[in-house]
Amino acid sequence: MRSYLLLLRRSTSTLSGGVKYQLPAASWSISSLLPSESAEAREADEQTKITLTTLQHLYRLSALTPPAEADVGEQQKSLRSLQNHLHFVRAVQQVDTTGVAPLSRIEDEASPAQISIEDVFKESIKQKLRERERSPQGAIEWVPMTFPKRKVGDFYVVEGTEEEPPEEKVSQKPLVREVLGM
Amino acid sequence: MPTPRLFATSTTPTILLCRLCRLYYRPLPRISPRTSPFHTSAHSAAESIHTTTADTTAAVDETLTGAFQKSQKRALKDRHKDVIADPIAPSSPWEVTCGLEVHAQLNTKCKLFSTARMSVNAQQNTHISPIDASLPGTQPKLDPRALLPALRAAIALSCTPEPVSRFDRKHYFYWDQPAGYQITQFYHPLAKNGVLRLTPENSTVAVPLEIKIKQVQIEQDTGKTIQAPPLQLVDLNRVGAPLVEIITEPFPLEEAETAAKVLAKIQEVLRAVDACVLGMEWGGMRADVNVSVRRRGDAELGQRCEIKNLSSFKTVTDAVTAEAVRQIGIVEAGGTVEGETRGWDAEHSTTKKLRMKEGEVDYRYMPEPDLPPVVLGPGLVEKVRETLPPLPEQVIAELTSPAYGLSLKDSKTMLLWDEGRTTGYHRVITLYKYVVKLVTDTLSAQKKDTKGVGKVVGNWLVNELGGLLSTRQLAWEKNPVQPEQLADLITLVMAGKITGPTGKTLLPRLFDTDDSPSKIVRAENLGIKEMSDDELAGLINKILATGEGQNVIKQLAELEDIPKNQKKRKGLRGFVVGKVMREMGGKVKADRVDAVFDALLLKKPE
Repeated sequence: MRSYLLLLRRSTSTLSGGVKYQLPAASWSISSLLPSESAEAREADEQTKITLTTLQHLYRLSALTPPAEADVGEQQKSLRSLQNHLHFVRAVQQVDTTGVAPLSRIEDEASPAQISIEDVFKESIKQKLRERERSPQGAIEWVPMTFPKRKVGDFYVVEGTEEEPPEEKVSQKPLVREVLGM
Repeated sequence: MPTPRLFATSTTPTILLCRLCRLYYRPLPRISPRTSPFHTSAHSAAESIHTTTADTTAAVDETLTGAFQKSQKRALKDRHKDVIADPIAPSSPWEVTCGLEVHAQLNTKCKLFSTARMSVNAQQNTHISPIDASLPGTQPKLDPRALLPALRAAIALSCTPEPVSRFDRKHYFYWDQPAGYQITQFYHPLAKNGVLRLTPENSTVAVPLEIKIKQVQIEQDTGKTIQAPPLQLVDLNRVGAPLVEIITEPFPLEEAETAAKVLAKIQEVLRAVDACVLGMEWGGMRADVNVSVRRRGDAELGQRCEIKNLSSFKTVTDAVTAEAVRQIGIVEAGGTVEGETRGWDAEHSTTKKLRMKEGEVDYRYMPEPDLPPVVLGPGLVEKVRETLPPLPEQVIAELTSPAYGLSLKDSKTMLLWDEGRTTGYHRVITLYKYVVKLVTDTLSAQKKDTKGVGKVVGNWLVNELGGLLSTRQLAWEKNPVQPEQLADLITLVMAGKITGPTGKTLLPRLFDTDDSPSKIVRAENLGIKEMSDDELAGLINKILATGEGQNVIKQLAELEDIPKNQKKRKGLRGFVVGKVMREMGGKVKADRVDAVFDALLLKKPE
C-alpha cells in the first residue's frame, strides 16, 4: 500500500507544475461566511441596526432568559454575536431560489401515501379489538403523573401570572452562545 | 337622530262619558313619553298622541285600562333598545363588519396525532400519550379516522376539499402546550371557499344573509388550566384533541345578534352532520370575533380588532356591541383604531386589551417536518358526500312535503328534540318515520284510507306523547313506549275501532306495560260500540224523557235563534251529549251523537 502511494506521489509531482498548478486559484473560501474585520464589511453589518428592544423581543419569543438590564457588557456581547449570525444569513440569502419550493421533508413525492376510503370509514376487527383493550393513554403503557416532582392531586403545577407565559426559572444558555462556542 | 323624549305631561282633554257606568268624567293627566313640554315646534307636537281630536277619545279611553300603560312601557323599552343597538341598526351612519374564527372539537374516538382516547370529564392527566406530553423521542402520527368528521364539516359548509393539504407548526410557548408549538394547517388547509346561507326559514334572521367561508382546517387543541393563585393547575387531557377551525370572510351586521345567529347556524350544521357534537355551552366550540367599523358607503374596511375566546352566544353579542361602540367612539373623537387583540371582561361589560396584534407575537409558521401531507385518496370525498347526514333544511323540507305533511312548527319541534343526541337510535324523527310506515302498512292491509297519516302521527307524537314525557320529566331516550305500541294505537283510532279520547287515556297506560293496545282494548272491551242510528236515537230520547232532559228541551225552545245565544245553545246540547257519552262509557263518537241529536230536534214538534 505504501509503495503504491509513493508511486502516486512521484507521478503527480512529475506533472507540469504539480497539483498546485492544476488547480485554479480559489474563488471562494468558507471564511467569507464569517464577518471580516475590514471597515466596509463592518459598515454593511451596521446597516441592520438591532435595537435592544428587538433583542429582548427575540429572547422572549424563544423563551430564553435575556441578559440583565444592568449588565451592559452582556447585552453588547449578545448584540455582537447576533449581528455575526446575520452576516452568515445574508451570505446564504445570496443564493437565487426563485421558483424553487422549500423542502419541508424528505418524502416520496412521486407516489405519496394516500388516505383511502378504508382508512377513514372501515375499522378492521383486529383494530377494534386492539383499541378496546387499550387504556385511555393509548398504545404505550405509562403513568403520566409519576414524572413531575411537583404536583397537586392529579394536576401538573405551574407558577406564573395569568396574563403571560412564565419566565424560565432555570437560566438557560442561549443557543447563540452554544453555537459560537463563547 | 332626534334624542328620545322621556317625560312630560299631556294636556287634559275634554269631559267624556264612561260606557260602563254611564257617568261623565274627566280623565287625570297621564305621564306620556311621547310628548314633551320642551319641544315647541309644530312638527314634534304633531307627533304626540294627543293632538288629533279624532284620536283623542280613543287614546284617552285606553288610559283607563292597563293596555295603554303597557303599550307605553313597550314603546319606551323599544326605543331604549334602539339607542343601545343604534350603532348597528341599518339606519345608523356606521356599518359594523364582523369576521369569525370558530374552533370546534371533532367527534372522534381518539386524538388527532396520538392513540390516546378522547375524554370529556375523565380524571385529570390520564388520557395522555407520550407525544401529547411532548416527551423526547416521540413523533406525531395522523389518525385518518379524524378526517371523516373534518370532511363532513367541510362539505356541509359547501367548501371544496383540497386533494393535498399540509400541516404546519405555529410556535408559541405556554404551559398548556407542552411541545411549544401547535400543529395546524396554515399554508395549505383542508378545504377552501365555502358558503353558509342564513334565511328567515332556517334561522331567526330577518333578511337572508350569505356568509363566505374562507377555509376549514384541522388543528390540535391545548390543555386546560385552573387558577389556584399563586399556582396554575394544568390538566393535559385535552392536548392534541382534534379541532376544526372555520374562518369566515368579513360580513356586515344588520343587528347586534347577527354574529351569534351565524354561530348558532354553524353549530347546528356541524351537529347535524355529526362532525362536532359538543356545543358552545359544553365548551366544545369557541369563537374569536374580528370587529371593524366604517362609515356606511366607504369602500375600505376599517382596522379590525380581534376579541378572543368567547364561549357563549350572549357574550358574543355583548362583546361585538361593546367593541363596535368603543371603536365608533374612537373614530368620532378623531382618533384611529389600533389593531389589537382584546378579551371580553364580563364584569365590566367591556372588551379589554390583551396584546398588540402585530409585533408582540410572532408565530414563526413553518411546515411540519414530522408529518406527511394529507393526500385524499380516490373516491374518498365522494363517499363522504354520499354518506353525509341530512342538513336541517333538508330534514324540514322532507317532513313538510306531502309525503308526511307535517306543519313547519311540528317539524321544527322534532328537530329541536333531536339536537344534542350523539347516537341515531332514539332520534325522534327516526321514530316518527318508522311509526308512519307501520301505520300506513297496517291501514293499507285493512283496505282503509291512508290519507293524512303523517299529520295524525305527528300530532300524537308531538302533542300527546311529547306532552306526557315532559310532564313525567323523561328525556326521549327514556321513552318507554315502543314504536309498535304507538303505531297500533294510532291505527286503532284511525280505523275507527276506538275513539280519540279513549286512545288518549290508553297512551299513559302504555308507559307501564309492554302489551299492545289491541290486546288491552279487546280485554277491557274499550272498542267503539256498534250502534245503529235508531238505537242511538232511542237512548237520547230516554235521556230527554228525564226531568233534566225536559228542562233542556224547554230552554232550547225558549232561546231565540240569534247569534248571541249560540254559546248557550251549545252548552245545553253539550249537556245532553255528555250524558249520552257517560251512559255509553265513551264508546261512541261525540260527533255522531251530536248528529243524531240534531236530527231528533228537527223531527220533534216545537
